[in-house]
Amino acid sequence: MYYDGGGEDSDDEWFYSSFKRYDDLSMYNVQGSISSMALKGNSKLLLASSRGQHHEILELSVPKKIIAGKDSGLTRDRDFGVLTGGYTTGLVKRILPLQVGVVTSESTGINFYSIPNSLDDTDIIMLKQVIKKDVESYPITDANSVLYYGIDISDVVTYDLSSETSKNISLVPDSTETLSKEINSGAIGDLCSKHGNIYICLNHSGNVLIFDPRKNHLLQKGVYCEPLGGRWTLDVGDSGHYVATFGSKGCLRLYDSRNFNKFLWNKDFKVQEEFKSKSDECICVRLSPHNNLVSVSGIDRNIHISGINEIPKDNNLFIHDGHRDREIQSISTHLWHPEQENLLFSADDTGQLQAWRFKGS
Amino acid sequence: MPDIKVTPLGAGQDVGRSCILVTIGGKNIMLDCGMHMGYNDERRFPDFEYITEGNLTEHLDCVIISHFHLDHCGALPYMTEMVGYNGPIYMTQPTKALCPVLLEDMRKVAVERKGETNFFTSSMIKDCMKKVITVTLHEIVQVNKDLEIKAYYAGHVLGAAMFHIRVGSQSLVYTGDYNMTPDRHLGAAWIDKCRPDLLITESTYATTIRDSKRCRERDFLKKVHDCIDRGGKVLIPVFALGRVQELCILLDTYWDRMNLKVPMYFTMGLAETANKYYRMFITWTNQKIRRTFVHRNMFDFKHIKPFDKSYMDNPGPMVVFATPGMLHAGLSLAVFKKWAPNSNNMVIMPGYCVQGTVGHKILNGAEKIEFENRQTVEVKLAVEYMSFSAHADAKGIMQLIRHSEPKNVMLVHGENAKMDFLKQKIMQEFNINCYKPANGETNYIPVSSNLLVDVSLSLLKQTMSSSSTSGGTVPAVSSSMMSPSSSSPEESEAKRKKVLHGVLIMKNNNVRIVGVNEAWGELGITPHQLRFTERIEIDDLGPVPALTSTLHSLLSQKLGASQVQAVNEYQLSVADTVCINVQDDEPTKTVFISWTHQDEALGSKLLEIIKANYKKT
Repeated sequence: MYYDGGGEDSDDEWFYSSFKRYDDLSMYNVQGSISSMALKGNSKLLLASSRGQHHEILELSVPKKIIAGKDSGLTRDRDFGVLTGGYTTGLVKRILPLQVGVVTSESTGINFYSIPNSLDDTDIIMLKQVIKKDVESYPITDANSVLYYGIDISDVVTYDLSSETSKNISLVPDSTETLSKEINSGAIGDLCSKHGNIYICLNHSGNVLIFDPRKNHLLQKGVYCEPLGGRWTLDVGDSGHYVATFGSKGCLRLYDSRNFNKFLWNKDFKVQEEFKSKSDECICVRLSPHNNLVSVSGIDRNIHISGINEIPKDNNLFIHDGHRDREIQSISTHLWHPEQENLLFSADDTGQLQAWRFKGS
Repeated sequence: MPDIKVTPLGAGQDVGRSCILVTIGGKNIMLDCGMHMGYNDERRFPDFEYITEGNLTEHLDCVIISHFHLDHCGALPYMTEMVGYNGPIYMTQPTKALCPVLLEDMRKVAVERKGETNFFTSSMIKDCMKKVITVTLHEIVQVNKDLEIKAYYAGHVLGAAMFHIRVGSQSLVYTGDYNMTPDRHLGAAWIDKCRPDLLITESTYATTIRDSKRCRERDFLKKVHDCIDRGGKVLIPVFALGRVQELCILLDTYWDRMNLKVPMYFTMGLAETANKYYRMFITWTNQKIRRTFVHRNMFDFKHIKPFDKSYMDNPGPMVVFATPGMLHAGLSLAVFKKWAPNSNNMVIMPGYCVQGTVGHKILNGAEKIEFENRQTVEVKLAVEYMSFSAHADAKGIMQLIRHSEPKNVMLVHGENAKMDFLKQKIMQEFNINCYKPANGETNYIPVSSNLLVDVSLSLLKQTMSSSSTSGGTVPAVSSSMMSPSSSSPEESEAKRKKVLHGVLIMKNNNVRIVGVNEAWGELGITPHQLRFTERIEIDDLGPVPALTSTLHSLLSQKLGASQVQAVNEYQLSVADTVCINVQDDEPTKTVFISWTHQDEALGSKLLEIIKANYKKT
């Protein structure tokens, strides 16, 4: 006659124990598998999800309860509101929020969509420009109102959204000789920008380069590391000094760019067996906006948080294990709230979106 | 084509009141009859004058109420007893039992607390409920000769149902409020692939992604625990038939697990009412509750005990569940008055509170409450709000559409004016139309009726083998069929649409299409053919062949060269069926146009063309 609820009792224990571990915890169900997320300011979340051939991007308002601060408990507004939404042409792997819209790197190419505001009649996010067709999940970033994308450092494209013009640049303009000796391959794992500089993390080796587009040359390169293989990703702290790289084999490295000829420390995480095939796509590393913390996900069902300053021992500072569904095959991504302390968002491929504030030690 | 006509009734753009008028197959039905809780004047009731002035009985075939929430049934007694309606009202058994309880409660608050006049009376509520006919789930109820309805389980609250309505070959489903995820005491909504022409669904939470039940419960437990930890007392005013059962199970389990010793209580009135109704409607709850109920009384908990009024003076922390839920009277109000001045204490409000109640006031931040006897109470305790109400969100709506496969969808009572993306999703993913009417705006949903017809085999074979589409007695198919981009001839031959020309015979409740010749034979009719001939006199002095040639050019120009053939010097043939003869009738010429009955249109057109061209000035 109707569907019965089941299996909730086994989770009771975890929820009870969560009282001591989390100040706040909220869980949401989105239709489809969440492939990417990005925050727009403090109060809007852009989220991409897929169901078969249907791919959509949603602009959500973050519930007041989450932004209200620690432990506000039973506040009325605890739900995400769908402000605008639209179909994307492909599965979205990266989201770059801009002023009037969003740039996405999808399985079918790189696109720019316009997002209507509250004064517009419609709530539909529309494709405005096809920036690059038929390229799959390219790393993208933007600096000084220019978009950068590419999969090899010798062949990066800059694209100006307003003039819709693109230009090819090489991030290794001179001294190719000295560089190529050390850099096994120029394949780009990920791009990031901070204070107008472009930070590049190379696949296989996880080596880091910093490029200044205004002076058009490489500023620095991080200490050379022997390639471990696999895909690598990176994140850069707010100040531009701390750089964290994370490889799909589970290796996390932390650098201080003021002293780039060594790294501060590295740490190896175990990649769980069932997650090995997905770790290439899903590895994610983030540096927190305050408190000097670093977090990683993509190697198992959890989000692991460590402190930057101490050399981490075996224990992590905090492990978020709220994604408990047995059907989960990957944690798609996670991110820190830019202002609220210890507040993170995480998403998995069953459509679960979680917002959680862990108790600091 | 027949239409289904839908008008959500109401004043302005407000949500918070459900009352939808539907006309289907000539029958008029009112779906829900809710009251808007935010207004104190006539605006809280739907505008019944839209239907007609005065008594509504002649204008409605029936009224259907989905569940006992006031925004779905609050205006019912007003409509039946004060505006006037004596026809049938359909609802489920729990709804019939619970509606009057809420209506009476609301009436008391309105009249006694707010001093309203011209409100429906207690006896009006009783008279109204006498008109109610109860329905069971999945039972087909024949309202009258043509109209039948069927209820489906909706979850949401005890007794809530979705209704399937059918008149002849047209059908629609009205969801009321529903939810697609089961919880601790109710199951989730369920419907079969009934493929209604129209699905009318509530869309209040269509643009929301809701926090999970588990996390709301977690916060609730945490709040209660934190309060008793600091020695405070927690008051939870509840409606006996709301989620109190769920919350008690939640707290009892938690207390057990955490080995807490702080006393918890429920008021006896609450237990009695809840037990009485749950006993009646046990089949409406979920498996888990039914299992426990068999073994013990609903309110037989390990850590929650019956409350005595004197306990409220006891020192130390405690938790109390008490009715009524809006703090407008009775024991919950008495406890509140006692505990409110202490800032260590807490009250957790269960949800919606009607205007005028203490609950409503404190939820809006009142720091002091004045009572009739000049008594004032300082509100220093923490006021918390919790809502565990279960509604379908965007994901749930899509699930329901997927299960029921409607041909059209209508979203009603959506708070967010902009739902273009949701509409687009529904239209794209299910390939159906989606409507979103404003209050008072009527929508017409076209319904196509499908009639199943047998076709004679010989006619089918004949049509399939007939070469493409041109010629014959049939007008040419549009040229888009022959577009250059179409694939190879063999393939397009099979996919190309063909027009079937036959006779529809309805005999012995059986409908068939047979070929024309078959029909003559079967019906024993001798075929007759009608041929019309028109003559036009034309002032033309030239030779006959010249006139024929001119006509040929004229008609080719108008109809296309392929249509007009010159048979000989004085005869033309149009579309192989219409004959044009030119005769010399000194001093004028006569043109004869001859066509059969079937080519009436073509014949008339040719006549017009020629006449227009040779108009006598």
